[in-house]
Amino acid sequence: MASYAYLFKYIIIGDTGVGKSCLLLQFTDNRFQPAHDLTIGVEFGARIVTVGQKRIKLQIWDTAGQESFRSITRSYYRGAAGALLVYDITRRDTFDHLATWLEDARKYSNANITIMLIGNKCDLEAKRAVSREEGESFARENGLFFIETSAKTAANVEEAFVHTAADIHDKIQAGVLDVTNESSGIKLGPTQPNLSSFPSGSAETVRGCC
Amino acid sequence: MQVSIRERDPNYQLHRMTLFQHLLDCYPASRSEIIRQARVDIPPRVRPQVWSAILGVLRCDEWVYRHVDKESPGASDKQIDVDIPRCHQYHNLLGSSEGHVKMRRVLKAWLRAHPHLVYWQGLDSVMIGYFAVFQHLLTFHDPELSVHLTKTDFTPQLYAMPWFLTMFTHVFPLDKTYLIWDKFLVAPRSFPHFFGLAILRQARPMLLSSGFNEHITMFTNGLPSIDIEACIQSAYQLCQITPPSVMKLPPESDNAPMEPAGSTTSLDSWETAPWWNTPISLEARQAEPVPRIFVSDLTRLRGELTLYVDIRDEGTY
Repeated sequence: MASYAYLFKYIIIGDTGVGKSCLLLQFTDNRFQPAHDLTIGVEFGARIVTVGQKRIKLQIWDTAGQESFRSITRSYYRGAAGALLVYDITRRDTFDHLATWLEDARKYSNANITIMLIGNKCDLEAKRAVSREEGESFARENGLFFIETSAKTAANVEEAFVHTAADIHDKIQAGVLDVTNESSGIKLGPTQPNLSSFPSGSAETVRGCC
Repeated sequence: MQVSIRERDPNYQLHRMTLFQHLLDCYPASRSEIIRQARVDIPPRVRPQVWSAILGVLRCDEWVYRHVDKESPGASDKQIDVDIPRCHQYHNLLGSSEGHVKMRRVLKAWLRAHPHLVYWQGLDSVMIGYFAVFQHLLTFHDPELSVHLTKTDFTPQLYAMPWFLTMFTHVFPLDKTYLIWDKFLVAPRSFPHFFGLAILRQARPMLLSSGFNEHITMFTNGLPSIDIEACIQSAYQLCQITPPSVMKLPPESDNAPMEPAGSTTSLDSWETAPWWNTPISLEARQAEPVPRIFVSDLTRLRGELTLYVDIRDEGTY
């Protein structure tokens, strides 16, 4: 069934090689491809999830992480309702660059964007270079959601995408986001949303558990 | 006969390989004949030697390569190490550890030999001009499709970046890439543009009947239904009927004279160039949805479907 109540635009950002495309592939295709092709410019994925009894289509823009693409990836932020900001828990530098990414996200996207901070590769506990507490505290200080994932084992991948959607959905219900405004990153689906459905539980309770 | 069929015909291959072997023996004197023959096709078994010959590689270059420092650490090492295991890993050689080592050596040698250049996954600023020209090219040949894609926000920046940045190597698997590059190496410089246009033209019915979501799905899946050889054919045809001015970027310098290429009018002798013959900046061209055709090209544009509208006032006319 192709019908859905809303379409949310997501963008995945973060340093090169942190596993952005692998997260997307795990989410859309339920598989892990360690030798995933590098991303040139932007690639796309889509999947329908259910939030608060509503079917929501996620249209995900997976961007290239390398610095030389920065000026083009910036144009992709426009009209995104959600952003997944990804770092690699085994590479300290990818965590150190988060502030720059966040700055771009704040500057080039709309003010009400929901940002999920993701510490990926949490299956590689032995190589860990960034503690979970550091990730949590960065998220708290900057008002982001936080989760640790593994694109390889699929741990928390579903949660990362769905909880972001739940928060966006909450914002719609609360009237913070205007669905008729294109720049909000939300479009009404081919079927009208069911007005009697309830908002989902708070997404604030998400915590990494892998 | 299609190249893919010719490649499986042993008699034909034997004939072609004998010919190329003979030509390669006489290289570099035979270079122009090699290029001429390569326009027909290149036998897969001699492809490395033929590509080298087309590119003008000499025996002494091998000595240079062998003596370039491929081991010392460099600024791009980290990026190269991240990228190599993400390139064409379905391929037996490129996916193997030996392939990784070889690829790394080639990249390092190239960096060492070109100290003024850097290794990048992308060069996005360079691409802006490319996209502007490509958009114009599409509008010139297929205004309906161009308008439709623009309306659905499906811009060249979204789909054509890997096309031109990697000359389609990131788009198609290696076996198809060989065929494409066989042509790119011996075709005019602007040929990749026409090849991209040919892809859009082939996908036209599907593109026109769908919106942004379907477009991105189709292009993300690596265009599996595209017939490469048909695209190459149609790219050649498009290339021949396109006025050069569509492809031209404005001259680097503001004072540079306009291309007089084949111009028979007396415009050149005018003291000040009229408005229709003054160079247009890249920014202005980007902002315009349609290409400008120079007067010199206009006189050569002959087609049953050509309509001229003269908007000059009586005085200038």
